[in-house]
Amino acid sequence: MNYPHVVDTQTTVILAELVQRERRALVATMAKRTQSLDIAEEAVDRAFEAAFGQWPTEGLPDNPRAWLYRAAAHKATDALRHHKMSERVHEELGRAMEPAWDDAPDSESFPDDQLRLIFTCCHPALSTDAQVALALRLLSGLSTEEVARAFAVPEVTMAQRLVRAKNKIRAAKIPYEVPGQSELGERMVAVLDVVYAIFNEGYVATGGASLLRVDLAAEALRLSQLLRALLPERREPLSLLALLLLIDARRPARVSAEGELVLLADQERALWDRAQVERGKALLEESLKKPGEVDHYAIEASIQALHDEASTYAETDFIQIAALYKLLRDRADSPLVELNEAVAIAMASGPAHGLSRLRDMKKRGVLTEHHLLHAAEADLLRRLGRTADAKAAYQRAVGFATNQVERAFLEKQLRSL
Amino acid sequence: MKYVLLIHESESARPTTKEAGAAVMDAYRAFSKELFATGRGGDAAPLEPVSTSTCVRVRDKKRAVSDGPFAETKEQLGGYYSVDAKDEAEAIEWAAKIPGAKTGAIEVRRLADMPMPSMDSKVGTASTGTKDYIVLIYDREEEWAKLSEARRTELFAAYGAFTTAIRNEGQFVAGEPLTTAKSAKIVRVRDGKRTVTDGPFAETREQLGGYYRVRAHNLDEAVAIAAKVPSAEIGTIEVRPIMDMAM
Repeated sequence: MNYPHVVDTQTTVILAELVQRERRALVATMAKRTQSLDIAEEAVDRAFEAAFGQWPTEGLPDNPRAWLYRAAAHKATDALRHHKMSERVHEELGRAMEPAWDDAPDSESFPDDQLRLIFTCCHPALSTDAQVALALRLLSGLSTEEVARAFAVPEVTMAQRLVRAKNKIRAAKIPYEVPGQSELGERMVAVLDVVYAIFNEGYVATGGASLLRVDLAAEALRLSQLLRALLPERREPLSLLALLLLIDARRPARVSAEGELVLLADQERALWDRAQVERGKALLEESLKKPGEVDHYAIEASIQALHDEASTYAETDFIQIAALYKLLRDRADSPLVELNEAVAIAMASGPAHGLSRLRDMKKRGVLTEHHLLHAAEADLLRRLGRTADAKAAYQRAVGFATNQVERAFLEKQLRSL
Repeated sequence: MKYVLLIHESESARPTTKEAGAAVMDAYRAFSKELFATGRGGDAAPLEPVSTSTCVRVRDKKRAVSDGPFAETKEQLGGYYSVDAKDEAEAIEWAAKIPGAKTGAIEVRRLADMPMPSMDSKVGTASTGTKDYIVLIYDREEEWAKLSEARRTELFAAYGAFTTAIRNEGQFVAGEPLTTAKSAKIVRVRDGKRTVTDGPFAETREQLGGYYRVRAHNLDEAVAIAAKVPSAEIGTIEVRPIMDMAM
């Protein structure tokens, strides 16, 4: 969406803040009332456009939020008329759109509307790509262009992905509902997985040149905070927020001034955000105190907390970390978790032990085409003084790496041998 | 003999202009009129594109829901007619008259003789806020062939119970078990010339073994129905919305 440029910077700043803060709540409420994401989005964007047009010259309305809700409601009513719905349906919806917006809700109100929007965006009948794109577009309020840039795909590709997803929501009648209690747990985990995927995409881009995409990691943190606020009784949103904070606290040390990747072992630990580590740990404790079975996000957060607490890499409690990875694998086996466990074993019991675990994985064909397995193998071989073997492993890792920053890092390791 | 005529067409070949779309619609209306005038036509429906499909599998009592059709094929199932024909030759005659035979392929499948609950129980009726979905059942035919007589009887009974249950809920509109994919005839018409080849229509690990047309309030309800189809535990169930238009 392109908002016209305006001269009154102060009004523009206020408006930009409102877009950021209120778009999601506005779309959620309008979607609930119109039962159409398309109409809701269009109405809200047109209301903001009208505000950008009028406010700088006519001054701020007394209640900007109420003004926006009213404007969006009008636009939505117009749109419904254009959609040639049957008279009866139209009348019903018209009535639903009527309430006065003078006491318009703020972004914290109508949590149910926002939850409905979240569960619709992250519906399992949509592909993961589509869920992530919809979440960023509708929940975070990023523009299609911004979402496209974040995933290094052309804007037209992202626009098609979004259109296709919204078509499916409409044609297949994906409900605009919060799932019932029996399904809520499972569906909520799917939502959290989308947020974690956004965070990881922001943390390590799978393609392109920039390793860190601060925007996406920050968006994921914001969404995670929102979920925690909307589902206060649940353990998992709390655990995920703790996990993200504990990883993100190391961000200032993760890339050097030259834009190069710095491994956890070599990071300048003084740069870590200690206050954020403490916040993450407090949330993790709160999560662990909740009754019932511990969720996998809490286990992952515990691992990150152990890393954050260690004053040097060598002093990290790798015995406990290896045990936690084992615990994760017992719940849901995953190749990357197995790799992490092997690395932790190498740190706790020596490189030879780790190496035998990696060999076992290769024998089973696990991650044989993933750069991380070969990079880990190379590092262990290097520590054992087997330089020629280490070189060959680094070469394999370089061949499988897709991220330019990661590839540059591996090439540098190779040269240093 | 009852047959179902499955229309497979490449979605990318769907008409792009309003005029071409209207011409296709008119052709289908004319065919439907001719078929239903004989009193031999049964349930029929055009389907939404495969991009609106959802797959459901149940393994170890856990339900997995995913986006997309059962298989990515060059030609996609776009709709179907069921007909009561005196023999296969007559079913093929009807198939060749379907407009889609000129651009795609019509798969002619005889309905299987399977004990089904009596047809006089409650059938779902259209009401506001409901939508029809096709529930396509993809099974491994060779697995069925390997089943013991007792296990097969058990599965038939499970299907009977499932059908009765969705009838009682008012969710059942139509549903038929099909004979094997191999026994199908594939009908194409090009430049006025008809070709008939033997099935299966597509070489997939699992084959379409039957379908239900169900009426639900939304996709979640349709997916819940699909997860209860006995084959959900061994095969794959695809749920696709049916277009809101008379055929």
